[in-house]
Amino acid sequence: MQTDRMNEEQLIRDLRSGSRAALRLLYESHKDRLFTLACGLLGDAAGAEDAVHDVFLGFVESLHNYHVNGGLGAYLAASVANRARDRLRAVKRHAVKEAEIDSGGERCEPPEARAILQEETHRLELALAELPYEQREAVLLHLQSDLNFQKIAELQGVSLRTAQGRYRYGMEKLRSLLTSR
Amino acid sequence: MQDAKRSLEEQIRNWCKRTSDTLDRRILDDLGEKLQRQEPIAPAPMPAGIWARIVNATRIRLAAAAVVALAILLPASYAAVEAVVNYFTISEDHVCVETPEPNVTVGFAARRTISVGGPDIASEKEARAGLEEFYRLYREGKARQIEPGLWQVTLASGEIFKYRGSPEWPAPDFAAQKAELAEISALRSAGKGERTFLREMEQKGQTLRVYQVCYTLSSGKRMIVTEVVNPDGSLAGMGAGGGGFGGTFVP
Repeated sequence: MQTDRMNEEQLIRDLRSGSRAALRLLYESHKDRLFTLACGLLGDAAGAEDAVHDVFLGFVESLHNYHVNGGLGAYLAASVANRARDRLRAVKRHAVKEAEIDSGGERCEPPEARAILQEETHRLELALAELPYEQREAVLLHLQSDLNFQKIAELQGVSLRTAQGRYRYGMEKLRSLLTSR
Repeated sequence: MQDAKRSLEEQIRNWCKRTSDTLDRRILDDLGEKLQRQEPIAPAPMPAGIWARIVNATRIRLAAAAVVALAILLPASYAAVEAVVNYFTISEDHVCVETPEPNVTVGFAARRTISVGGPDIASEKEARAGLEEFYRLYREGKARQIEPGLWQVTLASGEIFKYRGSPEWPAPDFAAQKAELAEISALRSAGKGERTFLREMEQKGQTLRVYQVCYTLSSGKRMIVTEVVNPDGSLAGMGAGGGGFGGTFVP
C-alpha cells in the first residue's frame, strides 16, 4: 500500500508538471478496467467510450483538487459509475441492451479455446445485463474495481447492509442465469 | 459450491474489454491538449499571517488567490529523461494595495505555491536559491519561453531550470472589487446571504460574533465573506479570502 501511494504521488506530481509520459501511464494503467466497468454498467460500447473519455478528462481538469491516498483506481471507477448513472438517467433507458461480444484482445489461445472464452464472456455479459442496475453496479464495482462495500454504499447512497445485499443477490441471480443457459 | 462461487467471481474479475486504438488516440489527444492548456491556478484561503498583518496596519480590502506553478531544475545534460527526484514546496506571498479614496484602502494579497525539484536539489535552501536566480534572470529578460507556460533559463552553475506556470503575479482588478463590494453591501442590507455561525471573539470587553456568509452576485459568482457582528447586530467588520475578492474591514 505504501508503495502504491508513493507511486501515485509521483504520478500525480508528474501529471501536474505536464508530463505526457505520466499522462500515458495514467491512461494505459486504467483504461481497460474502466472501459470494462462502463460497458458492464451501460451495456453499450459507444456510451462506455464516452463515459471513459469524460472521466479521464474530468480527472485531468481537477488534478489540483485530487488528494493522493493510494486509491486512484477506485476514484476513477467511482467516477465511471457516477457518469454511467447520469448517462442512464439522461437517456431514460429502461430496457437492458444485449452486451456486445468482445472480439478484440491479444490472447494467443488456440482457436477453439478462444471461441470458448468468447462464448463464456458473451454469456456473462448477457447475464450481467439482466441484473437490476444497482445489483450490477455493486457486483462490478466490487469485483472489477476492488471497491469495498463501504465505498459502494457511499456511492449508491445506501447503507452498508443494503450494498452487501445487492452484491449477494446480484451474484445469486448471475449464478442462476448462467447455470440455466 | 464454494468452487463454483469462486469461479464466477474470478470470471467477473478476469472479464476484460479492451479499448480500441481509435478511442485511445481520441482520449490521449484530448488529454494532451487539456494538460497543455491547463492553467495551474487554484484558489486558496487567505493565510492567517498576511491577513493579520494587513488588517492591523490599516483598513483594507483583501482578496486572495493562489497560483500553483512548478519549477524543475535539471542537469545540463538533460535530454529526453525527466528524472526529478526531490520536490520542495515553496510558498510565495504577494500583496499590492491602492487607496482609491480617503480612509479606504483596497488590497490584493495572493499566495503562490511552487514545487521545485531536481536530482541534485538536497534542501529547501537550494530550491529557493534556484528559484530566486530564475526570477532574477526572468526579470532581466534572459528566460526563454519554450512553449506556452513553460520557461527555461540556464543558471550560473550551468544547470537548466524549467518553470511551468506564469512567473508574473495576476493583476488585481480593483474596480471590479469595488463593484462587487457594493453589490455585497446591497445584498446584506436586503438580508440576502447564507449565514453560518463560526465562533465568538472578545474585543475591548465585548463579545463579537463571527459569521461566514455566502453571497451570490448578479454575475453568478459566489463570494464567501467573514462578517464580525457587534452585540447589537451591527456590522463590526468584514473580510474575505479565496476566489479572488476581499471585503472591507472596518476595525
